[in-house]
Amino acid sequence: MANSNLPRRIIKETQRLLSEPAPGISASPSEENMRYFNVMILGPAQSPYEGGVFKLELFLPEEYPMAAPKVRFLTKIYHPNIDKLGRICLDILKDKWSPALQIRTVLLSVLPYCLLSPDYLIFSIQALLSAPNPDDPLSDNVAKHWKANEAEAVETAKEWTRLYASGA
Amino acid sequence: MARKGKEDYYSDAGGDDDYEDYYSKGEDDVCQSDTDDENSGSDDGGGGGVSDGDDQQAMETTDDIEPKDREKEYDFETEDDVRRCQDEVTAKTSELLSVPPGFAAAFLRHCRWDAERLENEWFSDERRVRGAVGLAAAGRDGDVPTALNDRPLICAICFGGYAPGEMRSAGCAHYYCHECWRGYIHAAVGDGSRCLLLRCPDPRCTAPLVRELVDEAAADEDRARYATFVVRSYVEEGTSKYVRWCPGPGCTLAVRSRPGSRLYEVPCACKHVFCFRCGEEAHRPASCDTAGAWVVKNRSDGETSEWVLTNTKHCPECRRAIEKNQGCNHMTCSAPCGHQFCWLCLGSWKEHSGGNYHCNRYAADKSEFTGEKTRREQAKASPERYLHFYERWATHGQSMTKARQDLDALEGGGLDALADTFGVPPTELEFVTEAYAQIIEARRVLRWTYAYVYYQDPERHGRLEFYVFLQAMAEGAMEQLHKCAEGEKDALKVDVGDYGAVFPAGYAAGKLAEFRERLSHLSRVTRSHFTKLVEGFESGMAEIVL
Ligand SMILES: [Zn+2]
Ligand SMILES: [Zn+2]
Ligand SMILES: [Zn+2]
Ligand SMILES: [Zn+2]
Ligand SMILES: [Zn+2]
Ligand SMILES: [Zn+2]
Ligand SMILES: [Zn+2]
Repeated sequence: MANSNLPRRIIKETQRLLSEPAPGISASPSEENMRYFNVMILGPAQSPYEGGVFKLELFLPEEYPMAAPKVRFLTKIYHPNIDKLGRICLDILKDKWSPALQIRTVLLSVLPYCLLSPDYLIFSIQALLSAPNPDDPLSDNVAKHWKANEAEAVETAKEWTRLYASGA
Repeated sequence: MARKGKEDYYSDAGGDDDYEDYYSKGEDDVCQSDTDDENSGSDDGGGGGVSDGDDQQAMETTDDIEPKDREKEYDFETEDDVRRCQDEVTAKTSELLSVPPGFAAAFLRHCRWDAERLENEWFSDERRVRGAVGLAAAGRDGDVPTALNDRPLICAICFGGYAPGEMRSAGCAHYYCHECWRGYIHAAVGDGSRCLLLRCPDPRCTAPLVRELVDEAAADEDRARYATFVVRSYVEEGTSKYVRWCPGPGCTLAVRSRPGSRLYEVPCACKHVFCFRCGEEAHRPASCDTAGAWVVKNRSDGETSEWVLTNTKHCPECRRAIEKNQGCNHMTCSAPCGHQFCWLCLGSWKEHSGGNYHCNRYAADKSEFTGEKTRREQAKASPERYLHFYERWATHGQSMTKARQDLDALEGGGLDALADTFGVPPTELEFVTEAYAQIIEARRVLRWTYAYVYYQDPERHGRLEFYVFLQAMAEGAMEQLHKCAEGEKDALKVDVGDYGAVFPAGYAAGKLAEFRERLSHLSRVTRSHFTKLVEGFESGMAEIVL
């Protein structure tokens, strides 16, 4: 019964997410586990992900809010900071997490921004390049691709959006 | 390919300048509060070996000092001693800058615990120093490390409402309830020393979280862990190289070097001997750079080298599985085979004495190479070559550990029992423990010569010949000594213990005298070989060909 002892904060956050949905994003808790959210994000306009609908899962670990929520793309996406398992390389989901941040902050400001300007993240998260994770060379390759030939990488991202995120 | 003269042989550990600087500053910078503690002496079993005789660098400056006094070039301190010293520096700084101690500690940490540097930076640009730790200029009430709310608020972490006084901030405008602070600090402390950089939870606020707040808000256990990280930071991040933690397993002592000390190999009270400059196991005659490069290489080649450390090999004569459970590498297969062979190379032991000792030599190093660079690099990088050196380095290390355990057992009652057998006072058997101490030290020196030779250019036959020769002589002598200390001692004990009573009076004494004579002789021979070994290696240039 993960739901019986849900902290007040999670209840409040959930209520607010449901009562004040933001444009382009929906997040609803799963019926079996109120710590597990199904998330859909519309690809932001003027980005290679425009027109796509991306499914994500968001999970609030036991330690939340002292530990960051776990967020993962379920829809395949070509993005330098997202590996092939959908894990996101984003500092605020890791060591820059603060308990004063909320699910809302992550979903409403951070993720769309991350999608809007993928190349911004390439340079701000140098660590990804200097210490590539050998388990998932994809994101590393994508990042290299993005740096070497941005136009081509953007085309690939658009192609993937069409192929995997066209909401069919 | 850098060549260095002997003078700055050790200087490339990074920060030798600091080292020299420190000593030229005089005693003022050193917190001497507890250094007169007499328990600082080591019950140092390792003092009797190589370094006593040929510790050249130490000899240059401490020639006329008795060995007893030389031990006092460093003191051992517990974590509490270090903490006292750190608190003293922090309190002084806090007073000088008129800031609460927690902020003083944050500034000091930013300046790597160099109070003088902080003082200079602070009085030339206070704002910059504050900015570096995220602290704004002092407000009306001065610097406030933590404050309580004066009106009802909602906690931005748990969303609960709280009355005045039920929440606190890091001196800024962001108040959180006690329970959330507790959880916040708990999570950070669990994350390691990063907790020393903790800021206000508000993502836009940089207010640092300091000791005063932790003391007020954290659970007891987290407060203690935080305090430990603070002390560790003092030793590990401090620029002054005069205090170091002993890296020995499970050891919590810190070693403080006395001003003017040139010693760099420190036998800790826990019996681990380590290099004061780089913190690695004592590694003479290899330089800190060589030792560091070698350790890194072993770590990255971990899997390749793992298999050489298995404890079972097969007798080359009868194929029986042999397990190594002694320190000595001179193996004797059990009856009826009785074949004597070398654990390292599996060659017959007959070829392991005196001038015939070639076990230490990597075969390909002898063969002819053209000056072609690629071939040379290939040879140097070959995995077999690495494994040859790694196996010897590692095996001598294991033998060293075994000897260490044997020595511990002797000191923990074994020697008394042996003395009983011979009917002499234990003091008469000290030559046995001395021999063990020498074996331990010799094994350590020897293992590091393998790291040293590994980094030598295999093409330089002349030099290599020289090293390999010294190594062979020293290793051969030491193996004999180890064999004698281990094997003959036990055989003798059985002999005298079982049959002593039926032999005429004086039998045991005669046997003991023989043993003493033989072991002392081997000790002398070994000592002289190792003196030559260390001198020879250290007078060569430190040279890493990467
Ligand atoms: Zn704040
Ligand atoms: Zn709270
Ligand atoms: Zn120690
Ligand atoms: Zn060193
Ligand atoms: Zn055999
Ligand atoms: Zn041996
Ligand atoms: Zn051998």
